[in-house]
Amino acid sequence: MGEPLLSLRDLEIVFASRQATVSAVRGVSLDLEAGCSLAIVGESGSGKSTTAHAIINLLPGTGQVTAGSIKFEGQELVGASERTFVELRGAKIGLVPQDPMSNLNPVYRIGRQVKEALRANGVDPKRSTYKALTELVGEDIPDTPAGRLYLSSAGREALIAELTRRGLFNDQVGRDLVIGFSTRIEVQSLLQGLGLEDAAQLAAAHVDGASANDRVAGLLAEAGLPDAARRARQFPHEFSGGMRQRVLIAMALAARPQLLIADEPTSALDVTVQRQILNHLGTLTRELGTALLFITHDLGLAAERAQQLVVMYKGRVVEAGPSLDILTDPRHPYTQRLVEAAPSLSSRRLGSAVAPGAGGVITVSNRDRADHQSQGHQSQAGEPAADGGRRPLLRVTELTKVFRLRGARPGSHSLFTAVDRVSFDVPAGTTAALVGESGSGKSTVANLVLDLLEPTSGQVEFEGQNIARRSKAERFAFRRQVQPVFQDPYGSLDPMWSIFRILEEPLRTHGLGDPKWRADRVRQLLDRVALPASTMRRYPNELSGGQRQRVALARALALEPKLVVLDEAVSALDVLVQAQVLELLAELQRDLELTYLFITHDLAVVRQTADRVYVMEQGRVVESGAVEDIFQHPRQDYTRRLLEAIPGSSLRLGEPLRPEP
Amino acid sequence: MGWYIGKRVLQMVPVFIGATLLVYAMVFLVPGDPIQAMFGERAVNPNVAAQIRQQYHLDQPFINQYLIWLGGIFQGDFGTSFSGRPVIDEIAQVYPTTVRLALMALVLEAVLGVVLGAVAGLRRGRWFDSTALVLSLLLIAVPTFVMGFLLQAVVGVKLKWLPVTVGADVSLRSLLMPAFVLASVSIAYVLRLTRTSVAENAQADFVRTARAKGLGAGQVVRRHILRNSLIPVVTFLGVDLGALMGGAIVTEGIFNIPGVGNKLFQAIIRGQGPTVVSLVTILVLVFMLTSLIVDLLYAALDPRIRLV
Repeated sequence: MGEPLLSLRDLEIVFASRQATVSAVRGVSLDLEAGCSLAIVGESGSGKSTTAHAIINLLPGTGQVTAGSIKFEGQELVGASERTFVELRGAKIGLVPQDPMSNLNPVYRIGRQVKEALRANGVDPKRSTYKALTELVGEDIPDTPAGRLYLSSAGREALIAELTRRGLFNDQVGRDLVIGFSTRIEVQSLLQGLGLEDAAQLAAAHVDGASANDRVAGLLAEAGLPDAARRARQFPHEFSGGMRQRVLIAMALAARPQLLIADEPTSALDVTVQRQILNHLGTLTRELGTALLFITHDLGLAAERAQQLVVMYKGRVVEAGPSLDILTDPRHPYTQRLVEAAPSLSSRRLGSAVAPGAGGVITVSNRDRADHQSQGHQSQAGEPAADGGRRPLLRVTELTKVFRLRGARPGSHSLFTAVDRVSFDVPAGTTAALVGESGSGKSTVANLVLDLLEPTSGQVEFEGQNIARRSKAERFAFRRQVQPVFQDPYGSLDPMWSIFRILEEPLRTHGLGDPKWRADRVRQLLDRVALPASTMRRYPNELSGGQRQRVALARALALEPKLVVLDEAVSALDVLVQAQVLELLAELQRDLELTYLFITHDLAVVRQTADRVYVMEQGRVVESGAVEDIFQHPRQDYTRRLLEAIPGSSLRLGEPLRPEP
Repeated sequence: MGWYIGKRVLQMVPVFIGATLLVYAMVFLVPGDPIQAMFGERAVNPNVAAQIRQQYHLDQPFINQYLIWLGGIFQGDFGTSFSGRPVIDEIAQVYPTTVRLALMALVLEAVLGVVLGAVAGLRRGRWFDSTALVLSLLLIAVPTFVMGFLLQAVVGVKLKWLPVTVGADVSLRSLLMPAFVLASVSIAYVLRLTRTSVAENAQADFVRTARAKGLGAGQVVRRHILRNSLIPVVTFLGVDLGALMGGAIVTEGIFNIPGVGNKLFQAIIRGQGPTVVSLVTILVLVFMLTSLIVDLLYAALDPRIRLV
């Protein structure tokens, strides 16, 4: 192979503010061959996204490339004009951005936004620019420009009518004829497969090129969006996160770019959706021969999805090479820490593969994990069935929550059962995990346990007392015993309040101590979560995500609760920070005999923290058991799917690293 | 949508009754005898006064007067003013002028405010932005009458570009200066609103995605930044139309424009209850109607809004 498709040399990027210039990327070099895949891995702030954005000149704010070179197809991009970039973007380099929720314009229909990508790059919607796949079509149909014409919506209807007349139409054929996606050659081969003599004539008569709208539907269908033609007329807010990400993928691939930059394309999505999207992205880029530059903080994910890895730390490349080499034999200490911390890699196969590389050093997180497992066994033994004298701290019985959804007309409504007869016990000092996809009702259970929502039926008992039947004073006392920590450390701390005020508020609310005592307590709390006492004078926006989550934890601990409800408390954090917070949680549980109710969609995290797992699907608990049982012998398909969705779970040593179709 | 409009129209009924009753009560409670006011300094013949009192139901209790007036409204009869002409004629005489003035002001504030605001927002922190911000602050700080007199002196008297006052000639040309004075504060608000909104949207993720798609800078600004930024601005403009119509009293006074503001002012001074109430009633209706239109427009501009 000659010159690489993309080549970065000694790239330097700085962000200049009035006070100081911050160097975000320092001397990064990497090469990506056409049609290959490469992942840049690192924690937030490592400069991985900055590097990616610099390639298409979309650096935010004051970011600037100060030195080095970016070459794409041999063309130097550092210092190139905006016009050059406008021509390059979309047409030759596509971008799949990080957060699907904020990356579509809320005021335009989906179809229009995809069509924009076609128009802006002068793509002819009528026909495909790619040669038909010969293995699919066979050698007997020659590849001609007319053969690449797409099926239009009118053509599809006419063809279906014709096939119905001949009694050859069925659902499978209907699914194979995709508007704006199936080409004349493909249709011809499909018709030949049905045994039609005049397949070529039929295909030529009905497959006559798609309109822009048809092609948009075809692109969306290609990205895996069901019912694409109708969906294209909807607005972004009518789509789930996974569906929006599919739209963004369709948009990025609309003009068939040579390079696709995927910037944490699934970090904001559920594990199962994440897996579907990544599989699809992998298949598409492989079929189209698109090179993939993958940006992620999850080493397991990166290794599973890319051939080459580049590990970045504080703006520098600390390690680069083939994915598996790095995974099995990380050389740089930072990479070693990443490998250890990646929850996705704590699956059996890789766990054993990593152990020799770690050089026999028992890390804190491993010790914690061991502790937990033994603790799990103890608590199992100590469960009510085995030990009738011990009551669970929290007992949830037949808990049901039904929401009334307002209909389009006044007075009309529909009922939605978010939580359906859920029962479980949490013995004191243990951790129970509720696991499920978003929409499975797990957060509603959390809110019911926290007494923030009223159950429709069923009950929550805390220390043997039903929390619904209590006086105002008892309710107030209950709040001291049960504290929440929420997912988003950015949203759950008041940005206008100092850390001191945030931590002191619960103490003041419950009338504890005098000001001096409270100040001491705040200092203790900060110390407890391993933050310096000086933190109390700072404000939430001055802290990193991990520090904020520590503050949220300290706030929850301020009143010395017995039960802490952790609602996706570590899901928004980078792997390394996540590992630290999980360690802290385990330590606090040991020292303070806390009981945790862990709500998460991430089974990998569950494995490191929980004693018992309850898997929720559509409001019901479909499976429950001790952690190891669930992981080793999942009984439900749903649980198996969740387990498979853990990034890295499909990694097998010695096999070529390509995403499974 | 149909339900929503029906609901809003129903809501107008209590607002309408409440507003008119309040205005009626205030006019009634104003000290001074309207009959005496009609005759100025001259003495009034008690018989004539009694006759007029009866004619205008002034001898009846306040609530009866109100109900008689309200009954008339529902039959399309706004009553008779103290000068003997039907109130509806007076309304028809002054409203077109005020509507024209308000619409001119609205166009001025929309065009100037949005264009200047958008440019400032796209160049946040640079000299154009800073200048626009200082100027807008100036517009907000200078009282309407100062602005009016200043423009009259410079543009009207000194440069002789535009007529100093309006009077009977209510052409577009003669209304241009008062329309600008009327709009001046709103221009500043629209400018600032647009600027903030544009600057915020320019940083939005979907704008970066639009650029990543390969759209040129102009297309990105027109289709993705401006369109989204105009949603709050349109809301402001709609509500402001009502304010422009009702709030033109000072401007109409300075430029001697025969509009609602002038008429209302005189009617209040002369204690002409029926005229005051009728003028205000129409203003109330205009307010309610524009706010309804704004809400419908809002839903049309932002598909996430559901009208229920």
